[in-house]
Amino acid sequence: MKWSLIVNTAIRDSRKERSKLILFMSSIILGVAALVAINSFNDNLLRDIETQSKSLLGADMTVSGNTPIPESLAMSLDSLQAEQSSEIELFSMSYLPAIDESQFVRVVGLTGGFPYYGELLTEPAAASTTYQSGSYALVDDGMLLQYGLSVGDSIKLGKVTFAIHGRLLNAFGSIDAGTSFAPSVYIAGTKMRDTDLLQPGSLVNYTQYYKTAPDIDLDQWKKVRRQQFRNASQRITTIQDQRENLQEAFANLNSFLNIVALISLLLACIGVASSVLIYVKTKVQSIAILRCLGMKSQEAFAVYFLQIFVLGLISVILGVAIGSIIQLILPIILKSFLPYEVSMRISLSAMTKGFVMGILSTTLFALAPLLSIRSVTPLQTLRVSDDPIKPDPVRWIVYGLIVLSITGFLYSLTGSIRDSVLFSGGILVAFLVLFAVAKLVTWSVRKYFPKRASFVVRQGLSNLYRPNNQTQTLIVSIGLGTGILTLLFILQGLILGNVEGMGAGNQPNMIVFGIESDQRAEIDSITQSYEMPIIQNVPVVTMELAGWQGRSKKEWLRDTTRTASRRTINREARVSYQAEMSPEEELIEGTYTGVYDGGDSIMISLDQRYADGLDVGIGDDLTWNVQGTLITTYVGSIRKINFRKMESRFFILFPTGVLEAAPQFRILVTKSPDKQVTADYRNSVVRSMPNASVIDLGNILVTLNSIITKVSYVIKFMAGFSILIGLIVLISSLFLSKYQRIRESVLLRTLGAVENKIYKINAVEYLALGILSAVTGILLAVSGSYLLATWVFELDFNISWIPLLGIFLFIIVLTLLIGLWNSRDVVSRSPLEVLRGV
Amino acid sequence: MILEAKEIKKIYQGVNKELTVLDNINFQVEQGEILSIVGPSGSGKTTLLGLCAGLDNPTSGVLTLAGESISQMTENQKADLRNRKVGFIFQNFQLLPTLTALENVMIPLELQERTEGAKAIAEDLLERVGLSGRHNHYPSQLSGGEQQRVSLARAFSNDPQILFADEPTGNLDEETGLIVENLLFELNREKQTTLIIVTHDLDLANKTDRIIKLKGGRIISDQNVNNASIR
Repeated sequence: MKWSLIVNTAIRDSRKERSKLILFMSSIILGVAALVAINSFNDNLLRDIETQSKSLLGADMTVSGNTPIPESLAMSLDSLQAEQSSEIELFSMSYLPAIDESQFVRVVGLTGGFPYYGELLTEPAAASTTYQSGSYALVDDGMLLQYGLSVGDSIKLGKVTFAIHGRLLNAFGSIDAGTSFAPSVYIAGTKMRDTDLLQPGSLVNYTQYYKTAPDIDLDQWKKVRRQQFRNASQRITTIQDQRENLQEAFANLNSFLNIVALISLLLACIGVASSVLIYVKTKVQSIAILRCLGMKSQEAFAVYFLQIFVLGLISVILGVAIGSIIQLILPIILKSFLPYEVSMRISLSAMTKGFVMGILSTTLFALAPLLSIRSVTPLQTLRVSDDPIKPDPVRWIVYGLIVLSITGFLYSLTGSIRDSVLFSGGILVAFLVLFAVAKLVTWSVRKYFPKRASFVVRQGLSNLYRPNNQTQTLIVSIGLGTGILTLLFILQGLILGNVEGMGAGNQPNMIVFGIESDQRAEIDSITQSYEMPIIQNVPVVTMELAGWQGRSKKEWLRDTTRTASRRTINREARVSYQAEMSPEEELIEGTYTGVYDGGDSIMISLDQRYADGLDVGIGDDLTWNVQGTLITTYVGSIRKINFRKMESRFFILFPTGVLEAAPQFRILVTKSPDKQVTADYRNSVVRSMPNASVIDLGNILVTLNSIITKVSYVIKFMAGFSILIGLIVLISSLFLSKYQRIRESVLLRTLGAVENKIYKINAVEYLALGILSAVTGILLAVSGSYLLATWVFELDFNISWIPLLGIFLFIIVLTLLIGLWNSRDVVSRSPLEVLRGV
Repeated sequence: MILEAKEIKKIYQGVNKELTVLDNINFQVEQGEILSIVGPSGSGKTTLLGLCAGLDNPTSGVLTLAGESISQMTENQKADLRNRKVGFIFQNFQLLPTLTALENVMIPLELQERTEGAKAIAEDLLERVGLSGRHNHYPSQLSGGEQQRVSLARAFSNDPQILFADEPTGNLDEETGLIVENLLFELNREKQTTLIIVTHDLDLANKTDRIIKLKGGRIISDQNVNNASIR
């Protein structure tokens, strides 16, 4: 290899042609920038979770459950010799006497010096240390601002009125969704009993916080005792668990961003391949001359490989730099969405990953078209050859490496071999489908050629199959680009639509719970007095699973081979009973028994997910502990619940005639016409029944909406990258056509074709290509998103076709416009210049 | 002897049938000889030139160029041979559009890794063809005649033993063609190069020592210009 010659020729040859590689460079820059920005952000998120989880937990370890820690476990906890605090958390209505308003709040009763790490930020600052000394409350700052209240005013929780002692500027445990909907109020734990809010059936969470000596390995301690605590329905959380929980909480955001990163990179790779293909086509004559003058084929290949590699390297470096800058902006966009501040630091690992992936993908995707340089013969200086390209084993090796690298990249993102193989398999299938469509088009246009059509149509259509046609390249690249972009649009729409659907239409917007059985008539009458409908008024009985399939819960928990999930076994069951199944639910198996006939068997109905979680089916026995009384039941039917409706849904439904005498409370679901009625109704209910809580779903929907808006902003921001790269890919694919058609268009012009005719001929060709690519790409995206929505995201597949029609028209118009822009260039150039071939 | 063709046959594989472009081609060319190949369009002139210059492989037969059998050579060996011993002039000039006139002329020398003196040789040749002031001009900034003169300079830059010219004046007007022709013969005389010209132009052919006439892919005559038959 004559390296100095190769380097010199590469530099000289690229001098006048660098502009042709702008699209190539832009694709890489944007693709790598997206990759680095997303990976950097993920890295920072994970690093901050690592460093901040201690102060987010506030202690070295917590033990929590729906009941206080039983005596049986107290001894092993005492052995820790730790400093401890206890917390009782529940959700309840509060009453604000100063303004005669009520508000659903998260009440936290604290005893002890918690938090041990981090700070409970209050205003005045001293309030955080003194509020436990009397009937004082620390109230969420946002809530005080909303109602125009200040320190010194009062708040009534259950039966006790507390003086507002300070504004609460942060709250612990705020990654829990509940805290987004209900503002927090902190009181002394000793005052919690006095409020009388701790009623049977109330949703209460007891947490004990521990600060241990630094030499105690709590994870090891937990490992030994986890089983024992689990059996008592108590959960131990260490700082390590907190980290994992946080990481899991952000797993979906990570997954989505990773998909965007992959799509950006894939689109960039298509851009790379298309632009290099164009470049090589314009260089065939030069390569033939160099070969004629004695340059070896591998040297000619090296000249152009070097050019592409160096420009690729520069682009990757620029991409890494731009990506790092963008990642500094991401935390600002996500700021209000995240529970803590993400620091803005350059991530070396993300930069390295982006650099390596950028170089690898650029090289591999550029290699595919560059390899054809090796088959350019010196004979092409004498005459243009239309000889078919011979099969090249190296090309297949490159294709194989491309598939491997995509799969490898996916594996690095998902950590699942199955998912990465399936996803890259999907892309391969899409590629093959597009390739087959292109072949079918060339074959069928030739076979069923409209011989009687006008000259313009015949000329335009014949371009689809003539030698050097661009049908295959354009359909594959535009189709793949359109497909990937559409897939992103559909998935984004599906994810957002599924969440937004919860608040849509004529859904209930108010739930009252904690109503005692004897208050049923009263709540109905209050509701009706506001002319609000009683959509649901159902009883709720809390119970625990005591055993099933002939074995006790304890026996099952000890069995390591069981298939039932621990979560399902241990969860407190909130059961209802009703004679009729709700029309919103779907009976999947068995027969729904609404009324107990007094016979041997009580037939209950289970939700499909609950039955799956417990691994039980029709006819299996389940024994329940209903506040001390054991009741054996049998699975009579399995239902599918529609959770998108804002009504109470029960995993377990008993027939009527069994639980009527059990301790229970009721839930009422209604719909308020406006905010004023909501406020008045809420106040009436709280005044008449202090034990009941009114949840305004309207407020929740507003909060939910604001979260969705933020999430969709992030989704749109990141998807914007992919869309931009997609457009570059489309443009670069279309520019290919300019070089393919320039000579014949000029010849036609020379032979007397008027400008208009040349435009029309090209329009026919581009229109056909645009329609075929867009249709195929969109159909592939619809199939792909159906599979993803059903198998990965588990969403209802209900897409809106109008945006797809928009994409379809957009792609056609874009194809047509760029095609005509190319023709404009042909028309404006001197035919002589083109015919002289310089 | 610089070039020998023995029993050369070239067949192209068509869609449904084979197409014999050259058949039973036999001739020898001595060092320093100036020879033209003439014949009607489609007679196989350019194909024969491509084969002789090692740009393509014959279907059968043996070609010996500068003492080496090119039929047996690999693509790389042929490229090396072309670079050391062969020069080319094309009807459509075939200059590299991204290189300046000077760089185009230097390319064959640089391919030989002759970095020292390459520029001087190229400058000298450009001056010799009357383009001393156009070193840094790109092909698109030169007229057809000027481009062919750059091509001439490039063809002689590596001191070839044999020069192949495919319709060297075919794209030029009569006056410019004559200038290029004269330059070609002048330089050829100076460098003592064997020259093989493929042309339609009988006037140009008559200026060579020997004319091979092709028709339907076969040699129909091979004569010195004084009409003495060689075959």
